[in-house]
Amino acid sequence: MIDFEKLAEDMGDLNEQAVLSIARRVAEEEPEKTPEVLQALSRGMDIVGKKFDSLEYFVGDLIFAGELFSQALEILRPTFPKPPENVERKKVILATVEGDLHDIGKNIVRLVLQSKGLEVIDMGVDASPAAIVQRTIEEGARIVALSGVLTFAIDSMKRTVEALSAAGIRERVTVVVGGACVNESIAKRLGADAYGKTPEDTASICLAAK
Amino acid sequence: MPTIRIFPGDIRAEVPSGANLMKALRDAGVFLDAPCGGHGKCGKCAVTVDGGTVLSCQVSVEADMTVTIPEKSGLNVLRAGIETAAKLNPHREGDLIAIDIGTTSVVCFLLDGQDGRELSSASALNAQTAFGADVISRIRAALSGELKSQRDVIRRQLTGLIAEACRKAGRDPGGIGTVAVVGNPAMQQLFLGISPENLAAVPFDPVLTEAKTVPCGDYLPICENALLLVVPDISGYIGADTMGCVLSTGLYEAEELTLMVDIGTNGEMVLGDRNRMIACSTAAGPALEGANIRFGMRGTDGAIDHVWMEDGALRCSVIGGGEARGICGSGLIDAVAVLLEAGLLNKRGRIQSQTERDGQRVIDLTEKVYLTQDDIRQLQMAKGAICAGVQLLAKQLGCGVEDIKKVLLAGAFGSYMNPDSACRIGLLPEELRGKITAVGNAAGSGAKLLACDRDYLALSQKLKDKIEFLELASLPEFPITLARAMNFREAEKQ
Repeated sequence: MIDFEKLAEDMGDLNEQAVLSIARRVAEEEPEKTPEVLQALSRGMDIVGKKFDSLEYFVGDLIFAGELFSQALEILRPTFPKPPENVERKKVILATVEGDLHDIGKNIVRLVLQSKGLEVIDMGVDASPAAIVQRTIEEGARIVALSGVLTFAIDSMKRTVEALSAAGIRERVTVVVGGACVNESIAKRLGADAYGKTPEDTASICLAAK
Repeated sequence: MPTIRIFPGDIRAEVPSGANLMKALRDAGVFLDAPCGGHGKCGKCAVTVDGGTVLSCQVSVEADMTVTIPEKSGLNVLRAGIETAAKLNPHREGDLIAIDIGTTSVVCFLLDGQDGRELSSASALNAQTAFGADVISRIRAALSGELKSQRDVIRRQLTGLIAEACRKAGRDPGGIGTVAVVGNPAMQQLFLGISPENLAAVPFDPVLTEAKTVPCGDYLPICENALLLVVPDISGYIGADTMGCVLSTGLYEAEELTLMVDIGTNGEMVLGDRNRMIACSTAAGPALEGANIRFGMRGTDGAIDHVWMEDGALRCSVIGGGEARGICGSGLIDAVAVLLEAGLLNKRGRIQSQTERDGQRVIDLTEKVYLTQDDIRQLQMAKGAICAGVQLLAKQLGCGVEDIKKVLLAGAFGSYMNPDSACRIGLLPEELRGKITAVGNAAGSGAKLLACDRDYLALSQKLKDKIEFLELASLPEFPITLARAMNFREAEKQ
């Protein structure tokens, strides 16, 4: 019997050993429990967020939480639901924008999106507007998710949105942005359709997008 | 046009109406500290205007005003590096000048042309500090139209230092035959007047890749008869100053695995021996030099420079012996080591006491000086960066941190810091305890070697090609290594 409450707490406490041993157990013996595990880990990430806000945790702890979450999800990846045959999965172009090398948050988003059955094309970091537009067209993707941490990433995001317009495909895609440099109002100002405050929010936005 | 009267000295300057006061003071030759780059954030440019205290970076001059600059006492600038024996074989006959343009302090040495011995030296706070305390701020300023200003400011300052050194030794600047300059890539480029756009964006490639000699008169007319040595940079963030350290410490011919660290704003380090050397830059930030710390200050009078526990009470020593008005880097490191042992900080850096001031937890050190939660966080970022740099260099070299036989700390900070405290707080990995020596201004010593013996310039070109550069941010394991390095080791439970 897995105690999901304790799992959430262990994730919140950054208890590496406890979290990874549950992930391994579920992956090997109880794969049907994966969705509940993911929910517990997400609750744990919320706890981490609260501890960061209350100053108990600092940036290093956030990074560690991100890595721990990623590791757990990688272990569980073989158990992710496979979409039924003949159903095309929704494609999401995911990238950290031009000039920014941060990718921990982006990598977590990738894993959460994949766990919900979305197909993610991860373009990595420092992705130029032109490259993002080209890949979006090539893949026929309808969702573009942009990540950025540094302040000048806002400008890169804006230029990416403009590039999508210039290529004539802005109307066809949903642009969601996330990361430390953006918030609800900045997202609006730079021309995005939505702001993904957490990986879960971003997943909801992607699943709801046309 | 309004006139400002500046005291002390009663300097008068006419200033265009609406001009920024800090800039006007700078134009009049008064350089104020501006670690935040003039954005009204650090409070260090405060002056008294007509009786009231204002931040000069936030004031426009509209009418005549009287400005009083707060008194500052002398800064402890470290000059003596390790004196390495060099044969005298300069590029050109005559006295020798060796200059180290540090981000924070600039120092100039005058050496005798007959036997290479040091005759005098002169030093000052880098006047470019007015454009920002750190390299990034200065690069940004240069790219926003202030390249020429910064170039002229440093050249003016170096001219003054050369003149001062010559005066002290009774030598004529016209008799100088060789001038060797070292500095990090940004400092070098700003001095030479080369736009630093290569340093502002990925892939951060260096432009000064070739060692060469040029007429010094084109850059510093005071040395009209001298050759200026341009020392190559190793990468966009590892420069001629690190090269100078490698030369003077002899790391390039070391038999044992040696780590050389310059614990300053940029945190450059080189690990290796005669067979292989790898360098990286850790962007530690200015916390260890007092910036962004509530009561942070440089190593000058009034700064707590050491902290320890005695009879169950916290004790501080203060530079100059008077009342503490702030704390400098070495004091900060000691304080955190003491607080960890006392259980007042947990392994994540959270202050365990419940005393709050201005909305955050604090720990009192003296009646006036206290540390805030933010201060601890700033230190965590700085020390985490440096520690992670060491660990990743070792990994890249394929060895364990415990295999390092010698650790050489270059730079002023390395000489004042308590190495045991540094290991206790994890600024340097604990495995290095007991292997650490301070080597003082190794960059300056390197500049001296380059000036004395022409073979060193050719050697610097060879080493530039040999020393590998590790871009930490591109390593997948960098974030997690950094995150772990930011934590502390808690005291043993009794």
